[in-house]
Amino acid sequence: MAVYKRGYQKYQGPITGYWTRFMVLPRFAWRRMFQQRLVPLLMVIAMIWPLLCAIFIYLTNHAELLKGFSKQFQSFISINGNFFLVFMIVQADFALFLAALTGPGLIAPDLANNALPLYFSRPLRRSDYAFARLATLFVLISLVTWVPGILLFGMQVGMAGSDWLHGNWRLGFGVVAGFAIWGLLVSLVAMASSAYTKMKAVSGGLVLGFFFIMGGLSGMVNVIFRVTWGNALSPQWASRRIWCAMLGVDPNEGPGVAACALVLLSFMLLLAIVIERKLRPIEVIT
Amino acid sequence: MEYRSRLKQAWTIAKIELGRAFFSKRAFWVYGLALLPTIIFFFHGVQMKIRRQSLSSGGFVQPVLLESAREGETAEAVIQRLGKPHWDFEYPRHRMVSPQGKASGITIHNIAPALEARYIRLNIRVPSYNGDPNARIREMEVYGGNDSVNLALSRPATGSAPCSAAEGPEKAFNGNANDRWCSHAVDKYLQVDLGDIHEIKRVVIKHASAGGEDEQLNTAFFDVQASIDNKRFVRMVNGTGSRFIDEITAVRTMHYSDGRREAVFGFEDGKLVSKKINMLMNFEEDRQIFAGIFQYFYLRLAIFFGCLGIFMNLFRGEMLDRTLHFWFLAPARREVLLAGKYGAGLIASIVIFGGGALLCFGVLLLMQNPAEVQAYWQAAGWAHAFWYTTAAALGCVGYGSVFLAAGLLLRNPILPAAVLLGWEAINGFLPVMLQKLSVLYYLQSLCPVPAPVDKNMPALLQLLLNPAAPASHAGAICGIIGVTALVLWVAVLAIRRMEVSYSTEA
Amino acid sequence: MIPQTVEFDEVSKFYGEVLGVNHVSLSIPPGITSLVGPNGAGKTTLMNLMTGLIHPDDGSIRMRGLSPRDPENLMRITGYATQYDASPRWATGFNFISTSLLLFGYSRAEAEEKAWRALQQLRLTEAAHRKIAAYSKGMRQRIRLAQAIAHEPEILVLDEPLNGLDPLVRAETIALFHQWAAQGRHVVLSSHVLQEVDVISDQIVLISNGMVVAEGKIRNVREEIHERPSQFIVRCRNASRVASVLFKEDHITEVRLNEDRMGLLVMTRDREQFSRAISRIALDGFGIDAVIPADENVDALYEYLIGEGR
Repeated sequence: MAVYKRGYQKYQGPITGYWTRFMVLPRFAWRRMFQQRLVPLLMVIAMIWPLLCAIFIYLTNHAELLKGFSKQFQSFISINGNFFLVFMIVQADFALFLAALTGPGLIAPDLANNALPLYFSRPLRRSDYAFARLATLFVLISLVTWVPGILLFGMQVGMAGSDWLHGNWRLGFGVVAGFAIWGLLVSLVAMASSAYTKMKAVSGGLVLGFFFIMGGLSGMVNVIFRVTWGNALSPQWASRRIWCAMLGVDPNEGPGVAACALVLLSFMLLLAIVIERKLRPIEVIT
Repeated sequence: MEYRSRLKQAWTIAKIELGRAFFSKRAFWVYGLALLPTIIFFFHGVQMKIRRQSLSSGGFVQPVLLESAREGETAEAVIQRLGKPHWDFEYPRHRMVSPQGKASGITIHNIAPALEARYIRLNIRVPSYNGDPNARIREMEVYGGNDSVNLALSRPATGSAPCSAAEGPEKAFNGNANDRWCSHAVDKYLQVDLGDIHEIKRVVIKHASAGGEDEQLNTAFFDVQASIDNKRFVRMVNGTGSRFIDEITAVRTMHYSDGRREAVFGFEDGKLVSKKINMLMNFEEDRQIFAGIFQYFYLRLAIFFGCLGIFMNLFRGEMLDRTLHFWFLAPARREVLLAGKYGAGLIASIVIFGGGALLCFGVLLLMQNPAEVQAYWQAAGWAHAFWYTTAAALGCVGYGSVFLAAGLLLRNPILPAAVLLGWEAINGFLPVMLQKLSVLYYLQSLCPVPAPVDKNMPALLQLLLNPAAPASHAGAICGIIGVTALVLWVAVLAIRRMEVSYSTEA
Repeated sequence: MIPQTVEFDEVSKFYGEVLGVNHVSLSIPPGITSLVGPNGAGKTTLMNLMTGLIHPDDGSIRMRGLSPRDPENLMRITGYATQYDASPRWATGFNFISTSLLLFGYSRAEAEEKAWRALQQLRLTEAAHRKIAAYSKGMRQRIRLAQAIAHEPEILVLDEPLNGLDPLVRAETIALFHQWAAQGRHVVLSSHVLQEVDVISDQIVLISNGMVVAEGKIRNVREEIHERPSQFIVRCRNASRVASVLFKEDHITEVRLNEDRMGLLVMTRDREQFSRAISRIALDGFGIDAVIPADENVDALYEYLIGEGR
């Protein structure tokens, strides 16, 4: 029987733009993350140290309030590279725990429930999916790392004047760039472990395990070979070295910035490769 | 049914699981963890052998001579006495250092091309490094064509309101660095009238520390302007304080050896500044290092995460793969199933980690001087090896049971694993009673050699460290077996009640 | 004397606040029994309860005298083919079945022989050495069946066993069911395809919303439903004449003439009276060719008993 009357017409109306569609994945992921009780709790706890730092900045800029404190305390809270370095070290740990808590839920459930074919049968490229997941985590981590950092920096500039800014602009740049590197590394580790194991529970452990075990490995190498270059293998130590260089702080004994940057870059590359290989909507079984 | 047939069933289950535990892709990472220390020790040993060979090719020095080098000796003197080193490397080292003492407070600014001016004005933008609001200038000198004549000396000076009568602007031009101009006005400046229009080629400013004050009080950011008519000023210098200067040192290292030790001499600008004598192969020290690695890396990290991977997989992995119901549909009691799976995990982890520990110990011994090793082995070596292996095995027993139970009972077992990790990490700082409540305490009691304290720990933490006295061997073994039995009993209760309902993994 | 029935005694199961099954009492004799009901009615719950994968909150279950809390003994005589499609990733079809047989205490040779026999019965011998994960849907269904029957159990619990099978294999499998039922085993299966349930089953259990709505042989169940008039198809030569005679009876509610004028659809409130009426009409010489019950099938039962609930 031939079809004579073709009444069907494709949808002609407006279509939302690329970025709105891109943001669908992060939006729903964030909603899911914040439904877990631990995530907002951890983020609130992560704000305690920035709050303390803000108080320190206020104190430093109002010298009359400082008169009661000892000289050591005054020099401890003076706003220089070391101040921001301590800030970054503390917030970086919170970022790590946040990633270990929320990272596993990003990709592992999709792989375990075989949802990737559903995603990729829509106009969504693999790279879009990967970037959306990365952005989800990176934005979350940013909220506890460089966003409070830049706010603190702005507060200091506001109180100390543009002259202070002239002399110390590299601190602000160092905070943002340093945390960008750390946030990227932690996000990639969380994504890679989530894609690799398909089990949320193990994936979280893997995130923590990566950092602890690489730290342990670097310690072992240092101690057995009686050297200090082993520190480059520890992602925390390497990031800290790069932050020291950006903030103008004297670093501890150990490998230089170039070696650390190289190691971090190779880690990131390796993780990106793992993610690329695991994010396949098909599985071939021989 | 008889107990024997139940045991046989458990063994069958264990055999089925062992195949997967040993040969799956996951196992690869566990092997890696277990073998990491072995590999590093092995490479270290190889490196030492190569080093000894290269040292012997260069010729050995008398041991006495190695120690004879004195600080301050020139490199040539050392070479004359000890002969040619087998390693000699020289390079110029650039370092940004803050100059010590009075020199740190002096900034020198060359004006090129030279400017013609009568009025020189110093504007303080940021008066100090530590937030102190007072500008402090000890002295400001202006030089023209003649490099030794200070054009600004004793010239009339003006400036922003001084801190006190004795710290007026003229104090900065009186040729005496012991007094200073100080001001905390909002707009801090200092200006000198040279009397005539001169060609300005150089400006030297002595800040706070040039007069003995704290370096943090030096001017952090300032600029110098020049004017002919006191109306229009031209900026000639932008200064950011005298924080760092580039220090160039000629650094040279030389290595000598006497067959058993290696001396590393460090020279700066030709003079000996550092002398380090290391044993090439220090058996005693290596044993200490092994003890430290065993307790800090192997027990805390390797066995912890390895057992996490192996045991968590046994039940939670099956639940997530939705294959657990096959086990429940087998004609076996649930307790037998638990025993079989636990047994499989235990055998796998003990083989991998106990074997790994033994292998590492063996590699350690292999790399040493055979005579020393012989003596050590006959004295205490075999006991040490035995206790290390036992500690590793019992670690698998303890951690294995905990993670098996966690996998059975909890949706997200990572949280208790993280808590356990943290608990073990702060174990040394807890009161003694609480310290006995951890698996690690008993495992450490079994280690034959006490681990050296982590030298990198800040002194503050070292003070707080309060390790309890180790338990006796028997006590430790009973402790771990007791904890394991308790945890396994809880696991039995859990598995009897367990229901198979596969919801989607949210 | 070992009881030969599968007994449910006031069994209830809660899933949180949702009632999975509600005061279910059943007594299932040997033979093929079908569990019929809409999705979410509780068929899988009942099967899981039978095999001990979940535990009842109330009541007790006895499978030929054994309790599901005793898997050691019960699982020897029970085989369960679930609807969960997953299987161990490492397994080939043959390995999967022979390995699980090892747990029964068979030697390796015995286990392999039994496994092979089960695979033969389900025609999976060519694919036996490929990984299960690479099987098609129908093959995965069959391997689950094979695993359930490999140890020759007395009670077979099959959750939608014909799902995904092509017509030929379907027919063969149904033949297998009949074979096993003939040997005195219990075959409890659940199904949606009502026509097949009609053909296969000896008895049915209709479940809706966690409650058993009807239980027993199909005809018996139909007879017990008095609210609905029974439907019969009468094939005869003089349809309109027969119709007018039937109209006079007071238990007849409706008579419809078939288009070919050779048949009638009769609805009657009382089957006994109707059968007497038809006998009288036949004896009066009206040439009745056939009297066929029109709604003694599961479709009708389903619609009457469960469809109302919707």
